[in-house]
Amino acid sequence: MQNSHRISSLQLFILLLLARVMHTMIYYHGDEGVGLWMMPPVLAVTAIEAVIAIPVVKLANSGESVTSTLGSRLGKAAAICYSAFFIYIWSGTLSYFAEFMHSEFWRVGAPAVVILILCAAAGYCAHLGIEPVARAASVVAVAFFVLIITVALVSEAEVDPLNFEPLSNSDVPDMLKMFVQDLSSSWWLPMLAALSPHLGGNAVKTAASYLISKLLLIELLMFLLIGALGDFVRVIGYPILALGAYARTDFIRHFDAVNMFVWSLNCVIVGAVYTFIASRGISPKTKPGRITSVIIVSVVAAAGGITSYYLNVDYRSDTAYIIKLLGIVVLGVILPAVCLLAKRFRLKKEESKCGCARRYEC
Amino acid sequence: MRVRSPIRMLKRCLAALCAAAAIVLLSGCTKTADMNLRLVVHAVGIDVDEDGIYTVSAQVFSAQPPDGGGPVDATGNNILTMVVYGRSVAEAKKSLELQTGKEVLVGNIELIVLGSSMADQDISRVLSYFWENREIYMGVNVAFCRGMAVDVVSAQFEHGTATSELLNQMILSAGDMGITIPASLISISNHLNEESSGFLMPVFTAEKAELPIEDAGEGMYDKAIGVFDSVLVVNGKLQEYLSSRESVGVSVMTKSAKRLEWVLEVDGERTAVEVKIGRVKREVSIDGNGLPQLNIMITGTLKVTDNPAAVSEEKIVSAAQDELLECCRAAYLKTAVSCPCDVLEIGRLVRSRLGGDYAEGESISDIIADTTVSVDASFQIYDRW
Repeated sequence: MQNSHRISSLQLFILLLLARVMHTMIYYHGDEGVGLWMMPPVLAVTAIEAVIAIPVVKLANSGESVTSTLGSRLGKAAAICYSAFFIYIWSGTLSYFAEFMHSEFWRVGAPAVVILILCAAAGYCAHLGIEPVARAASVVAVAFFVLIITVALVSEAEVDPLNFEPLSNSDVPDMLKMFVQDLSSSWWLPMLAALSPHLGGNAVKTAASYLISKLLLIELLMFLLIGALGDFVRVIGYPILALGAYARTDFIRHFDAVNMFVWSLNCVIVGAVYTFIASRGISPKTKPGRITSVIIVSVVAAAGGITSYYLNVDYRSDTAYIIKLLGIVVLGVILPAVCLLAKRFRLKKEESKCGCARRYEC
Repeated sequence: MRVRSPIRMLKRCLAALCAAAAIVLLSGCTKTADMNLRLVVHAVGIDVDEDGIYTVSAQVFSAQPPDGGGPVDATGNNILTMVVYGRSVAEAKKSLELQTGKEVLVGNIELIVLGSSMADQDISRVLSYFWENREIYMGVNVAFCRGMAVDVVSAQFEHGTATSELLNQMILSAGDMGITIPASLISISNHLNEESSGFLMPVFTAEKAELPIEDAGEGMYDKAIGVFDSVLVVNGKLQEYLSSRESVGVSVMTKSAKRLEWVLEVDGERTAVEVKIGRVKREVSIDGNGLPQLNIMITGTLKVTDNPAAVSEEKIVSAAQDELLECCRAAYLKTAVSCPCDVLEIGRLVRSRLGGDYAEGESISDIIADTTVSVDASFQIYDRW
């Protein structure tokens, strides 16, 4: 049985969800505090995503990809854009994950070493191909599920209903900021566009499952943060980890190590997907996961991650939001829409040619 | 052509994941230290003198293998109390490391006790060290004590030092009985961020028994340790100690107390009862004058534990209800009238339930002043629990 380089809708959904969860974990620091204002923007963004995902979902279901539809030169340029975008995303993930490890578990190795190890592991997994990565992601997703259930059962957190104050006019700036932050984390759209050639299932199922799951999961996390942690999120640094750490049993006094093991697995999986997509962009015509392109992407991402970490590059600044939003809109919405239009135009042209040929034959 | 099985690829991928995670996480294990060279802190007591120098008493686990060999556990001589000084808690910790030559691990702290000398201090200045230390569990209990914190942390029971687990259990038991409301690091931080913040904290008492020295036998412990009352903390500073009625009232009205034990005077006779608080319903509405109104309905079951004069059950129930209402009245007068603060969560309830004008514009203290509070209690006799 060969590696088919094809993944099912469920596997792609799991990859997208793990990437989204990873982003929430390392990028959300609770600087603005918590409140009911956190929840409506997530719903609004999900609704917007459902609409803007139509072109990429249709393109994925048609069996075409952006690079193949655009032709040789434009396709190559688009592939390089996808590579650059996902190297940027992976560098940011590495930098923030290293910062996360250093602040929460300062006894681990130097951040540069953490970044290099994660890059190497992710690169190796990307070289194996998207199908093994997707299968491994399923295992990691199960591990997450088990961890969440276990922590929920032994959690000492109590939800305080009084933390849920009604919305007011003063919450509008925070809501807008939350809206921008959530929208700029929607790089599942370019991921779907880039992985569509490898999708062996229905993209509608993947997109629908992702949107519903993401909405429920993020809203549940927000609900628990508001109710259980309250304003303590400003102090705690990484609220999602703190939620998981607010649990203990007689034999596991600190769930931090268990949490961290699962998050490390997730980081490698997510990195493997980004590396795979970026390496495909560099050498789209070669066999998927070709070693040279994987090494190039891994080295560049590691350099980017290490540089970002030590230079304190802020991936949550306004500039970073603009870059991410541009990438999402161009690579995840505009290019797929253009490809769909191009494909429709080409089909009409072919139909009219066939029609002329038949008249000629008659 | 080389055929690569997907299962083999999956196994390799999983192996790479686990290897990366293990390397990253276990890199912290490169430094090993004998258990004898580590001090695991279980409880911390903090006192401060007039010059602002902190006296930090740390209840530590220091592994000493028993004579003749055997397992080492956290009892007896393995629990010691060490006292160090510093201009801050961090400096005191450093001082402990320098004095003992051992690495101090604070991730196992279970209890923080603040001495009465902290009464004039803003407790956030001391607790900030613990909030910002990611190793320390956010649910760690914090308590005040009458006298020196070192007396509580180093208290000796007949089998050794009162371990942090026992001290914590005292807090939890007192909390269940309405004597106090346990305060954790996270709850204190959230309270201090609220407007007109006020909350209760447990108070340990280490009182010397009044025994003539010559009557004290060998091994007799001459201190009584326990949580017998609460202190009101307003805007980070100790305001005053509450009476037991006031503590019970606050505990019940904030849904903290689970059971109460009283000895009531009914028709001139003493009757002991135990009350289980069933449900505390808090409803906010607007009265006819357009002002907020908070109605608290308390229901529960009552068990007569000692009734030597065979007083009728109806009178006992009525007396218990009256006692609870008195407790609630005392709590309201102390916390909402005398030193206005939102211990009873009146302001937060009104803001949360009504919104509108009370979501912004009105201050918490104004809301408390505007709000009428009514309490209704009803108990049912229940013989078997």
